[in-house]
Amino acid sequence: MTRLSQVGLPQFLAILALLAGAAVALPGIANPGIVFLAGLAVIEIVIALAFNFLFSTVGILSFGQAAFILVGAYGGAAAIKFAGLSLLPALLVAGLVAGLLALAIGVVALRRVEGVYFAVLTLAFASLAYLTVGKVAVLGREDGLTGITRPAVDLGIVEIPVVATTSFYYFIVAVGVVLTAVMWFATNSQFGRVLRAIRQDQERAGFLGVNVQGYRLAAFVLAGAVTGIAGALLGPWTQIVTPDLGHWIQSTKPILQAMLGGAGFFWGPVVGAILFAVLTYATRTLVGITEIVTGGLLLAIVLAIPGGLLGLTGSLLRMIRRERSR
Amino acid sequence: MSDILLRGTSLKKDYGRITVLKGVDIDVAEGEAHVVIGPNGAGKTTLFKVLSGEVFPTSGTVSFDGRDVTRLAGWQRTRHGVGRTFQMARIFKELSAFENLVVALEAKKRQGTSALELLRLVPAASIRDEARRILAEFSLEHVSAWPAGSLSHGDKKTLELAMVLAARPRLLMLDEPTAGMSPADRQRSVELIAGLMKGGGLSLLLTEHDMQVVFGLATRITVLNYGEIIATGSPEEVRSNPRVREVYLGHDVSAA
Repeated sequence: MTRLSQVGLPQFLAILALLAGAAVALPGIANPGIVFLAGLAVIEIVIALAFNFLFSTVGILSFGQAAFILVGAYGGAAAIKFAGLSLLPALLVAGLVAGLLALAIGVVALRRVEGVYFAVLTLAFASLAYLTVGKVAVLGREDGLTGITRPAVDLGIVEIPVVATTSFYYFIVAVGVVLTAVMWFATNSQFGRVLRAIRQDQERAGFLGVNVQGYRLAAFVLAGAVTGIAGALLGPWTQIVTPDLGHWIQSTKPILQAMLGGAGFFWGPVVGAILFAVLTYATRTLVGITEIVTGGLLLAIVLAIPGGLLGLTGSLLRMIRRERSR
Repeated sequence: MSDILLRGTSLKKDYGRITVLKGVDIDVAEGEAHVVIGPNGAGKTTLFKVLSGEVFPTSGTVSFDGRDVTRLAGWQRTRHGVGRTFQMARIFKELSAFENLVVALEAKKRQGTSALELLRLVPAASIRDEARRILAEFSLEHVSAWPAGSLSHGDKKTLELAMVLAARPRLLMLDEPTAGMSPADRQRSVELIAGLMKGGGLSLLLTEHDMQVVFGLATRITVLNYGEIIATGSPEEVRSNPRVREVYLGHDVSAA
């Protein structure tokens, strides 16, 4: 186990168990309104983790993650509503559709451009997806798809009904735990090592025999698919999907959450997304100034502590330790 | 020993309207240490880029081990056995020296085994042992855990060389391996590279400015001037070539 502790596996499992435990305990102590927001927060956590995987591990700045939320949400909703699929196959469809879209965007954009130019291209693609979905009749145009049910989770031997709000909330938490583990694994395995090397020096990685473009594309597709699966949870949870899920605001959320929590840390986006949810809840009665309060706070934190909340915590801990050792 | 490992034929490279290489023919025979020299702006680095696959030539061909690799990207040529370093050492700055080697060794290993290797969390014991052995061999143990970006200039170059060699290339391409080094480090590098050549199975193509390094290593020298080869031959031949003396070497040679 000493070896696995070097890559932080025990620590990761402990933190994941702690967070999952807290999420599972929530319906017992909080009202349904809060549980509903917590479900959304879990979905946003996964989306933010996927964004930060691209940003901090691969070195790709995507400004179009909303496109994958959008096609994942519609893909999952359509699979349930039109094809009558049960929940897990519907999520699979969503992951597939979003992964394919990421493949298409990646093939066109990743090879040609870098940095800000890539970010602008992804923004353009996402806007295109947003406008297109709003015009398709079978997808309900601007009204979206409504009345999305929560089909049972078919595990082959048993079927678990998740119609009740609390049951579906647990399902969201379970999927969130699995996808968080997937992102951690992608970040810390040999695959992640190659990606970090590529981020630091593409030329060097290439001249070690690494297919740089192939890896970047694979990572982009993985993040797209994971984002799509998370997006597919939205339909059954809120019972509606609308083109607004693809609005560019949805692409900025994971960016802000990652920066708020600390993009340099695996758990940064998680901290950011949770804090974001708490802020949204705390300012919910302040009609019209919610955005100002959250926006202002984000601005302050991002400007004052570039390392995010986890970065700040780290420096504080180091300071205390130094004081003590004196 | 006279088999040709790398061959560039009629290589031309234009950058917009500027022609940097004007039809260069160059080859590296197996086991030789071929040094390309020339004044600044002669096109040495561009020739290097074209031969290694960093850029493609405007026209002309590159073959490696009898196979046409003109349109193969750098990473593909690396897999065929070409290793190269850069003028400014390129390493993974945020990874430790040890991790730099692990990445290089794992990249090599993946070519022979399945992609499932990618799912490994901890590098295999054989990889870790090999990385430690190489660090010791290149006298880098003391910086093993340091972020590679904090290494001294000389150690960075040594680390890069160690990473490239970890892939066991048949042809080693070094772009000014001693640029910016102190005389002591320079001497150490020459000894290191000469030692590698003695081991056998390795061919060398390098560019260099320092004449002591050039004449210390080369079994063949090619002189490049304004994108054209003006002389090629043994160190003695090149040293006594009047055109070379006139164009480039000057009194540097008499000093060497």
